[in-house]
Amino acid sequence: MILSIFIQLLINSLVVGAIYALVASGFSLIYSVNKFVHFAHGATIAFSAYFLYYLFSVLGLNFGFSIVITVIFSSLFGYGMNYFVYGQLRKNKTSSVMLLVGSLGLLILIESLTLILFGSNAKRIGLMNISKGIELGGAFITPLQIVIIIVSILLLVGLFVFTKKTKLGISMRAVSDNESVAEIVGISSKRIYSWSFIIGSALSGVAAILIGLEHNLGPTMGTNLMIRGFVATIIGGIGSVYGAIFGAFLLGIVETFGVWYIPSAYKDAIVFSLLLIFLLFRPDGILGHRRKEVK
Amino acid sequence: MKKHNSRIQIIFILLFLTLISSTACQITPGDETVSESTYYIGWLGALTGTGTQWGEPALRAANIALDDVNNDGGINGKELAFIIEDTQSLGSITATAAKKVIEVDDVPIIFTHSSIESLAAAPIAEQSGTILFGSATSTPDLTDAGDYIFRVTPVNREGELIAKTLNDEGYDKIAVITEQTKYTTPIRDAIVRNYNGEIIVDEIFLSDDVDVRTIVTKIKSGEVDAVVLLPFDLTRIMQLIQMLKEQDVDAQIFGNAAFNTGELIESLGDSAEGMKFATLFIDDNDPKIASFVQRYEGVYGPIPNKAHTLDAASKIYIIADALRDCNEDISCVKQYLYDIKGLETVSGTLTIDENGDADKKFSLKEVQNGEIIFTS
Repeated sequence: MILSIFIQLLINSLVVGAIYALVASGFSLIYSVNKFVHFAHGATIAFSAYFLYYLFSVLGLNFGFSIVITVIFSSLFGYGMNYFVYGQLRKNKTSSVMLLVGSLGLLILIESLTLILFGSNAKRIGLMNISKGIELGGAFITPLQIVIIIVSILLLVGLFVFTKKTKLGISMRAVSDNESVAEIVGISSKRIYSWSFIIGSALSGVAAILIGLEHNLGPTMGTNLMIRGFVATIIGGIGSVYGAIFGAFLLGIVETFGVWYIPSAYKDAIVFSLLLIFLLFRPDGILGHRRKEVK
Repeated sequence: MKKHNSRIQIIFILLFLTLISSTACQITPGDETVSESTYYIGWLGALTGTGTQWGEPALRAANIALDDVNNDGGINGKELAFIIEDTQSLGSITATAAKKVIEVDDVPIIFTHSSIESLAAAPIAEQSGTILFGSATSTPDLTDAGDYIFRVTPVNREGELIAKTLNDEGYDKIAVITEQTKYTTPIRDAIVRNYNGEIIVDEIFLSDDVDVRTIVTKIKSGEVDAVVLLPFDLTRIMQLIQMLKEQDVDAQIFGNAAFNTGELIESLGDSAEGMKFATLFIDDNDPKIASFVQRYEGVYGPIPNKAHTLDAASKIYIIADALRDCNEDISCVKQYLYDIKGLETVSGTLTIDENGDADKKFSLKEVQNGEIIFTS
């Protein structure tokens, strides 16, 4: 493999990994606190991306204003899902399996809603004109792709600081580790559930903006991204937010370099093979083991 | 034990997500109340999933035709109506839907609008003596499907036309990128059979693939003269074209009939300039065609996949005329369809051969100055 191709594949890996990290970080944050798989997270990303499309491309609002509104919208959307659906299910003392079923229902509902409201045709936000990227050792990268990578790295750092240094972050970790003990020391798990959805969904809003600018929009895009985000979360260590981000980058690298050597049609086989390897030999994921030691 | 259970849960979740991603979500529109004063025909089309961009405009066009038929007295005084089933572009769901409309709703005729649907429904229709009339159905595999199987769209020759153009215009090294569907794979096979140069990159990707960057890198490193893109769903291909420009790949782009939509120019802007694609020939100056297109676009905006969407409407008019002429006798309707030679329709002149296949002309289109025009 010549050097320029290697650099290009590395750049591709980082961009893909960063996109998966954006999906996995919010998903993992919600999972770590709530202890159930919030399937509708991917659909939230897709719906928020369409929301941005509507504000910017249809209504013609200022882009800066549109992205702020999109992040607020996705936060409220996540909060609403927790309050109106999961909160009601929790009131009835339903099991995490029922919450999972509820999230499947939400996923299907949101995808259908997206299809009804925006139609089936591919949409493009079109902020920037399509033009040649920046050359880097014979490879190319666009300014937007640089932004995606930087935002993902900042998220990794930001989430680390948030969960380690802020009162809310520490409370989230407490509920995540042991809900009953957290309640005894005065932490309201109900309040923390809500905050996890607000922050996790705000992250999905950021993901929606960047993915929406980089990719074309399709009503089912969220589910496809969710599969990658979910796999990244397991590889990274389920329940560990930064583990999920590391997992996302590893997945991006393996997937991109794998497809260079074998046909693209087998990309899913690469992803699921990696997952299987982790399930068999390291079921706690990359950072899961370390988390266990802390316990 | 707990760890074992969580692994099983993970595998279950992934299987479910994969299933969801390929089927999208299902809306079941087939709840019509059966009435004696109505003549029902089954409509099997994609209303959700990746095929919606074909199925939705087809149903809209068919509904315009249906209104015309009913305003013109219907079928011997009866209102003509569809029993609509969403196929999600999946063969298995189409087969179930075909059995339902034929065996439960007892319809004598079914309409399909893609190769996937027509292939899945054809054996069921043939066995029960139900007429299947397909549009946007170009697979060669349907030719020998039986006596009751007809189509208004001809066997695909887009691949042959693209290969001929590549040969004539002297492109020596090409890349062929194909979405894995029953519609696009035969086009790719035809190009491989008929192209005289060297195919440097020959990639097939899945419809739900979220990233096409490595394919773009393969194309770039192959230093090809032309890139042939064969999508069913434009989403990924638009992304791929965008990335080719970003990677400074200056190769001529060729495509299939999926490119035949204003959406492509709207989304890609100047990047769409010069792209060439093969599609069915539609004479925009034909007053019958122009009038129908104007009515469609007056309500729904630019008509996507023009030739195939118009085909979906033309088969409604044809079947209505056949049912009236034959006084609803299905054997007679079957013969009526076989006898169609040079019929002027809203999708051009139609001839149906002894296999139930349509005969129509294919042409090459090009994006020039922001407009799609026929070049041959």
